[in-house]
Amino acid sequence: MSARDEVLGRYELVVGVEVHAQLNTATKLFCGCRLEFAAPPNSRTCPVCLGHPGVLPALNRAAFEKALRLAVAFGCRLEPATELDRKNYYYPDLPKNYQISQMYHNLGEGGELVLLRSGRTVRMHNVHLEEDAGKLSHAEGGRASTVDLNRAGTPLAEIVTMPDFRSVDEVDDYMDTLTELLRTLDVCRCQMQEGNLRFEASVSVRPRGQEALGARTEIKNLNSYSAVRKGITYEHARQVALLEAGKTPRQETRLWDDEGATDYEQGVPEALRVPRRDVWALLPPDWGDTGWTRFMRSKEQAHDYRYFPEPDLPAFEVSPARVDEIRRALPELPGPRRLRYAGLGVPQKTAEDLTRDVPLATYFERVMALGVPAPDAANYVMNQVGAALNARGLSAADCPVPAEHVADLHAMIVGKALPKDQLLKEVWPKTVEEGLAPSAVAAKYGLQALDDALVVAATDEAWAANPKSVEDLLAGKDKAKRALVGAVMRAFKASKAKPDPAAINARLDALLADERRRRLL
Amino acid sequence: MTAPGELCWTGAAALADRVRRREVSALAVTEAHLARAAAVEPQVKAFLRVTADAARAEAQAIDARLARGEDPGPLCGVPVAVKDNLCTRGVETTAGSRILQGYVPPYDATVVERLRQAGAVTLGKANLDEFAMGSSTENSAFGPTTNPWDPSRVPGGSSGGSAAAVAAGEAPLALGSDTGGSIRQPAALCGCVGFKPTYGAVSRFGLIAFASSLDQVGPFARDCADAALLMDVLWGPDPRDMTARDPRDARVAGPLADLWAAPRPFSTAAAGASLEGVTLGVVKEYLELTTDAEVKGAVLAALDRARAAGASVREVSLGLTEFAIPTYQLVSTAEASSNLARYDGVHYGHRTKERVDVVGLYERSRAEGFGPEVRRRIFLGTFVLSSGFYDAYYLKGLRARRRIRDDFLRALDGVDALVGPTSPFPAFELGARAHDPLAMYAVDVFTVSTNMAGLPGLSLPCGFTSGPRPLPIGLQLTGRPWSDPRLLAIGRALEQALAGAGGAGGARRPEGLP
Repeated sequence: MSARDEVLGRYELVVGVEVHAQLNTATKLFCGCRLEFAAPPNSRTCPVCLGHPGVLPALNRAAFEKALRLAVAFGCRLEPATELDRKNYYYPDLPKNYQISQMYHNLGEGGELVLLRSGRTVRMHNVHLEEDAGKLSHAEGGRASTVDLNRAGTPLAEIVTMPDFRSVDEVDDYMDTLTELLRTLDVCRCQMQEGNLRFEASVSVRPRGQEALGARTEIKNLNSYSAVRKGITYEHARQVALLEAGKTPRQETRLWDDEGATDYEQGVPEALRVPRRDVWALLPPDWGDTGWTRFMRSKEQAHDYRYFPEPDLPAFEVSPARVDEIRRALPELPGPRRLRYAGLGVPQKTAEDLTRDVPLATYFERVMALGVPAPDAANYVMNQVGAALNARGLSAADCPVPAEHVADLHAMIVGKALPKDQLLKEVWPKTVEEGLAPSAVAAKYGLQALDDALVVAATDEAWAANPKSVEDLLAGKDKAKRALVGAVMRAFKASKAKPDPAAINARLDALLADERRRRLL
Repeated sequence: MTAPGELCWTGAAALADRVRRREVSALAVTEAHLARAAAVEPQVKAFLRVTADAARAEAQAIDARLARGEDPGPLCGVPVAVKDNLCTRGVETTAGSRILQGYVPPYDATVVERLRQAGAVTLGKANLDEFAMGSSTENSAFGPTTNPWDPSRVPGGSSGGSAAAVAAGEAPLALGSDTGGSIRQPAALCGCVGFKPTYGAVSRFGLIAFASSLDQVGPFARDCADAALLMDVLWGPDPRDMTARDPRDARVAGPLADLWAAPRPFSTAAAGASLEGVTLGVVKEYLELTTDAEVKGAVLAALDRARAAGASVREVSLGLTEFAIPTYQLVSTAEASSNLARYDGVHYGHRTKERVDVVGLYERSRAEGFGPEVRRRIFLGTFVLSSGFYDAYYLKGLRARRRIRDDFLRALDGVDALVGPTSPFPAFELGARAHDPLAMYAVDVFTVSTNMAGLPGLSLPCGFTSGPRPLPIGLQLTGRPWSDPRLLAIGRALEQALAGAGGAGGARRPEGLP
């Protein structure tokens, strides 16, 4: 055990995660502006999302329903009526200088999520609905800032967990599990690079065996999966380094910073900082020089958001009947779906890959529905269909090959209409390119299977014509078999129909067995 | 042929009829009112902006539609003054504040849209206390409006411009907004009719918010029939305002849903108005707090008239009256502090000329843009919502508010409307209360509870003070939630009972105006 592992091992890492998930609705949360990534700045705005005098919010029911579906999927406690609140703070990307969010009557409280890899259960704190802010950019040279309000008013579900994570890997497991859930529920597109998912982690450490939690740091600006991992890893090291130096971490907010730490801990009091090398000593050896959490504000400097109930919106009823309806209409969730696929004989890894890609899983279900056994269907979907999609950069939702063609392929393989090898290597690419069913491709190109009797005759002929190979084979040299197969194949060089190597092999095996028996007698 | 001046003293319903029958053109009606405004505005200053050219164009469009045989709507050619906290597309809208000077809304408020659809002509934007915060119109950043009955006195507020315009004959109708009495109190002080609908009866979309849970838009007119005519245009749900409800739905208005079923529920109810069988509850505490003998006398005399016309009158008690103003201050300032946060110099409106960082930009722009009363209420509201004080102030305010509503519903049990003075005193001198905020807040003692309880409230003229410059006295009627058409009909019947008693403001014109 390295010195680093030994030191870190004396402490327990405790992490809670907050996720802002942009809901994939057509329009904004409180107005009719369309949601569109990378539209020209401020082109998707109206008086309402610009916060003009006199405007009022009108709730987008689709966003409400999506957030509700999420809360139901987590098994949250739902209040009979949910209310929105105002969170007041000034920032140029927030046109009203308050955000409509939830504080006093969240959409959902509690609930849980079973992690897909570890099978552990994470408790949820709450799920609530709020509006996104715009985007502020600081021009080069610091002479001016610009604000783009296209994003202002995008519906967000904020998903807050309890401090239930004990390692970075568990957080990683959670991010994957949550992403799959959000996709399965069709509530979020989960494109990190488009800002669909934004993470914040609250991190504390405590000496192993201690009950009480340490003071937590909230890390903001975690804009990629790797930033989440690295931010927590760094904060873990920093807090342990503080404790090792006999200092106590305090509650504060920090920003993940991918860039260099040239202004390392500037302005942070001596009692709350350790030399940079002490932190780096506890980071993984391949950490490099950059990547750290920058001090943003202490608990004392925290905003007083002056939350109060949003008077421009009524309470929204969440009737038990409606909740039941949503629960019944929930799609199969990733965890149960994996188990079901595995139960149908799909290999574990394939089952995971399929659940991760909701449209691909849907496609797989269609192939199964056409009577193709699950393991075969999974195999075709992951390989033949997957390759076709990858080559075109398409999602399975836009797959150019209908599921029926996969079923047709399977039927031809099982019925030995053509050699399997020929079906996969020659017929399938044409199926994808030409949009024809495999059987239609075979007909169009005049492909047909050879009569078994012809293959048998040709094999017998090769057997007789190559006594050296036969002797080698009898001596246990398996390579000789390939020479014999090659000889048979060559015999059909001029023919359109190709023999199935499996059929040749089968005949060769029979001949070999006969010959052995003969010699024994 | 009526003399142009007389058109300015003709009621809205009569004007609409005459324009519709093409006895007079919409343009002539508009010109008469523009001329009246030109004559009296130097003294009254009811308008921040008279949009003469736009008004003429709108009037001509009405005339053109009539010429084509179309019906422009129930307000056919009727000029309307619009309080300047209602957004008008393409016309500067300031809410009486320097911080919005030069702000031109890209959209019309729902009520303004409804005016246009009804064939009205918008004459201009009426003065108000800054962001509707005040009771005298003295808090306008652009100078006070004066009372048409006495230029040394205030018109009341915050919708003082709207009330004065109607009282001075500059417009037969006006739109105002009422958060704690801002329609009813200036109506009383200027001698016209002002109606604050049940919260949710009229859309607030496009009304520059002061206190969202209290604000309502409502009409000014010279009699209740005209107020009813305008209400028929204003009320109704709006997809852009989720707090605007549909009272035709029994889940909203309960058994009173029937009152709203007629195509024009207000005019229909007002047409059949009678006091026969109506029970009025005179509020004991309101009479006790009315120290002005003439105001008290006028209200009591009006009640005698009501009895003579068939009404029965009984005394009721509103025990929580003393808590009305403090509770109102907690709730309204809290909401205002948040509603007014958007005026920050970043996106529109006044921005400081000083070169400062972003926090400095907020601080300087707001300090320069807001007047002292608005600043005071923002401070108060920010404090009320602060962490550690929220429970003690805001939550307590909300609880008190529910108790006040219960108090009103109990008082309204068995009576059709509560009656009392609208204001404890008639119009006061300009400057008399301007430097004493508490004295100014006390003006609203009889009106703020109506907003906190979400009830409909009506003020109508019931008499005048004596002396060389008589001042109008207003009587307030308060009804149960969603009884609006009935309440306005009771007002109509009462105003008919008072007619000829030297009471009704519409029958008398302010003297001393050009």
